Amino acid sequence: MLQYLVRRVLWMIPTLVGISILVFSLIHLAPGDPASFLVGGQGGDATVGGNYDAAVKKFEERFLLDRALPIQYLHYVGPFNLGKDGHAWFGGDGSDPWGGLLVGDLGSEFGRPNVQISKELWKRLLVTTPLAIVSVMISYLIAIPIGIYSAVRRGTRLDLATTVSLFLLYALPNFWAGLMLQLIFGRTGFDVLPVIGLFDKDVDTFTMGERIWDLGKHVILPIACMSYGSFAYLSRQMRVGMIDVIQQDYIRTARAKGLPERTVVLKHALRNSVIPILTLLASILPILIGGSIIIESVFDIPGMGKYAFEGLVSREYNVIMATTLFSALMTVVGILLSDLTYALVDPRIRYD
Amino acid sequence: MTEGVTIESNERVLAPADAGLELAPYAKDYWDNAFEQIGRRRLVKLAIAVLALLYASAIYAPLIASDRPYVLAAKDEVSYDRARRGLVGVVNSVHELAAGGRAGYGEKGRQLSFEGALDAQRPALADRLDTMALYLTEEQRAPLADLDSKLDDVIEATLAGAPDAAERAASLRSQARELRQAFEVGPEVPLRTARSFPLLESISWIEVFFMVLWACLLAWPIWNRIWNARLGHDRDRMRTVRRTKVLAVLAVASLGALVWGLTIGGSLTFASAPYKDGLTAGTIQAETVIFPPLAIGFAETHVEESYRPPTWTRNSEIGEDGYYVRGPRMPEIDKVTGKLPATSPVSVRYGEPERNAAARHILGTDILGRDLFARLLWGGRISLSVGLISTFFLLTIGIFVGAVAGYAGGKVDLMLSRLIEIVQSVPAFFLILTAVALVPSKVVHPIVAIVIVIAVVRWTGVARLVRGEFLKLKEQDFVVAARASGLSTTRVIFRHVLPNAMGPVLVAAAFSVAAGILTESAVSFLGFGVKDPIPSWGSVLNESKSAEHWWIQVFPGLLIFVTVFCYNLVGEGLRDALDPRMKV
Repeated sequence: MLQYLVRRVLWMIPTLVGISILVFSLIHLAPGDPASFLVGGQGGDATVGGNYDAAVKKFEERFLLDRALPIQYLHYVGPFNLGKDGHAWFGGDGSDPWGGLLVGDLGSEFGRPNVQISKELWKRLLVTTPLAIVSVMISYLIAIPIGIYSAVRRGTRLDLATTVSLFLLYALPNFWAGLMLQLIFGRTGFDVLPVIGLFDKDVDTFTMGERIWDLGKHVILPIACMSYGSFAYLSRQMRVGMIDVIQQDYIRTARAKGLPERTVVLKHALRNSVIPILTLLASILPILIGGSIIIESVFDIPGMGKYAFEGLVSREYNVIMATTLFSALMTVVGILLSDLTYALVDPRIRYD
Repeated sequence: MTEGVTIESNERVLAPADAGLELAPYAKDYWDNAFEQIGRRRLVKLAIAVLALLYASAIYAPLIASDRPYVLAAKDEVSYDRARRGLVGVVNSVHELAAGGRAGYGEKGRQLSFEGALDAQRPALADRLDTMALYLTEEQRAPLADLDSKLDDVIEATLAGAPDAAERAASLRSQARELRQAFEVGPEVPLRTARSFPLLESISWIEVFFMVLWACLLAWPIWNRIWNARLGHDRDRMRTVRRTKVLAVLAVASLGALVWGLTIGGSLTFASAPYKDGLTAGTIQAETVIFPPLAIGFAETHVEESYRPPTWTRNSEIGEDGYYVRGPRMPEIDKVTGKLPATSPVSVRYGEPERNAAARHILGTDILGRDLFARLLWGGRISLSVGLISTFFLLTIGIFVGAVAGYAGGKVDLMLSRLIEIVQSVPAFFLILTAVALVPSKVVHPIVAIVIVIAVVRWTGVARLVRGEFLKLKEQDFVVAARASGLSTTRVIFRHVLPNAMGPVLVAAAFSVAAGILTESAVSFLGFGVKDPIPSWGSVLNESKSAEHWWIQVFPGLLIFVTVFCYNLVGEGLRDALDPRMKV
């Protein structure tokens, strides 16, 4: 088991390196250098007296954009700083020898050079992660009872209705669902919920209680939008798992013993059928964090997905790298976790 | 085989799932079973019908909504006159070139060489003569006939450096001037009505291929029944002609495309056509004009109707002065100037529904006043094909990798399995979005980029399926027998193993078409996909995120939803029909 774990973790390294090289070359091979329009956008840097070419050059030097691609990549990965102020081994003056991904430095934004991306990303994750966790919890809380119910009442009209409506939900594109929720609950419809952002614009004047109430109202729609897809998926899986278990011999035995149906279903069947569903958790979480790019754009929530979107729009190389690598890491870890939970849950599965 | 028919009807009454197998007078093969299973599910059949209609609407889009008429029998005095006056212009420039010679032209700093400049005059003259000939009778246009060949002579002479080239050019010029006088429209030169087919000329042979193909598919229930009846409903014979039927449909479509390409040979153009403007202004005097049901092109703008709600809604009514009659768009008097905001009245062009007719913009308009219905109709071409094409590519990659891994086994299998694991842990949507956002649309068209990246990222599922099937099948007796009889590996793989592994692959294909459509629309929705003027459903959705323009958000999304839902249903149906083991 331990050996398997170590091997799996080691396999994550080439995967992540591969993804980082792929994204890095995608970013840098695409024409449209950020240097020219960023410097141009600032309307002439004061320190160079409005000299455009000098400003571009200074900008490129600062972010090493004038160096060969492999050098830029190594500089990004670290742990050595290859810039002018970098490690003495690589021709720097040694004032700032370390840097790069390996020491947790994700670089800074082009537009706002003072903003450390690692800090900004952390701030954004504090928004995205709670939303994802809450919506996963909600999906499970709804999916399990519905799955049980339609498995127990299999073949009835209600089961058919739930199956069809879950199927409908499953096919619903989440960006469209978000827009429709905004139309229905926003000012154009019933006008009961705010549809944009996380807080009201005069949140500063609110008391603590009002703030929580305000936040709660703001996150209802995004959370609904994030959870319905996984909830539809989970319910279907739950129903199948439950039907599978109910047909087992030990359930027949339990019924034959004269146990009430309630006990049979909720005690004997549920425990065994809920386990496979729980292992799906590990694969849902990274999907949610990746999918947040759409939901957060629709609802204008300053989370990681929005950050990635903004990075793509304004060609912030380091932001694109950071968000893509983070979601790749989440995906890899999620897959590993779900494989491991399978083993923990089902002792028949052996790894070697 | 009346016997077979009666037993089939018995089956329906009894409806036992397996009883049919015992009762059937013929041995059902895989596809017989599959068709029968699909035929039993009403919802799946409905989904297939809806998809067939959606694809039909996309394929036949130009025949439904276009700003080009099917038939136009008209006199266009303005363009005739322009061509008539242009004759002298062309001849003049030839004369200039002939008189000045190569030295006088001075090739330096010019875009065209001396020869090029001369050559360019030939099509210019031919174009003008063609336009004139369109409205003149055979006898009338006789004097024009030799102008063409004379121009050719002069050009040849100039190129050869003949001393009398300038002289001949001068005489040609005076002839052209005379002709210009003589052909002025008047009682002496009555114009005849010319009949043309602008819409058909804008349809390319590829479109015809799909139009014919789809017509064959839609009519399948009819001709299939007739064909089967002629075979006497003999199952064995029906089974053997299955492939012939598919090939026949493809042959008919190809033949149609070929004939079209050789005769009419139109090409797809995105530019707006001038016909409606000419007809509206009266410069084209029409005898017969037949427009498609909706005479509005997908790129045709009506700036004065920017963001107009669907015309059947109450708030969409616009007065004669161009102001909205009621609703949130009703104009308010400006407090500073005391005047109403400037606006321009709705211009109803020839062939279009009336200003407030419900059918005018049945799904509303976008920022440039382009009709949403026409845009969605044409947009289906992109949205619906992205899913299919990306699935085709990912199936190709997946089947190849899976087949090699499963059939070869050993080290190859181990390496390919690792590769599958690595690709699987790529955050797919992130990568697709990054690639499409960063690759410049001039180098790689966004749609091509989306298709490629989807295929490159998402082939792993199919590869795993195929690998599993191959591992299982390659040990089975029929494969061993095929190998033992000395067949080549490729033949064993493609003729013996792969056909038996196709069930799960087809199921996966249906789901990945849905996923492809969803991905394309999500990418376009975020603004990284298709750019104007060719719309896709996702990019139409991206045109306004303001809740005031609800029609822009509701209708395209609804189409995406319905399509994805139908594909999922078909996938489920196929899963039940083709692959009972995978039943979820």
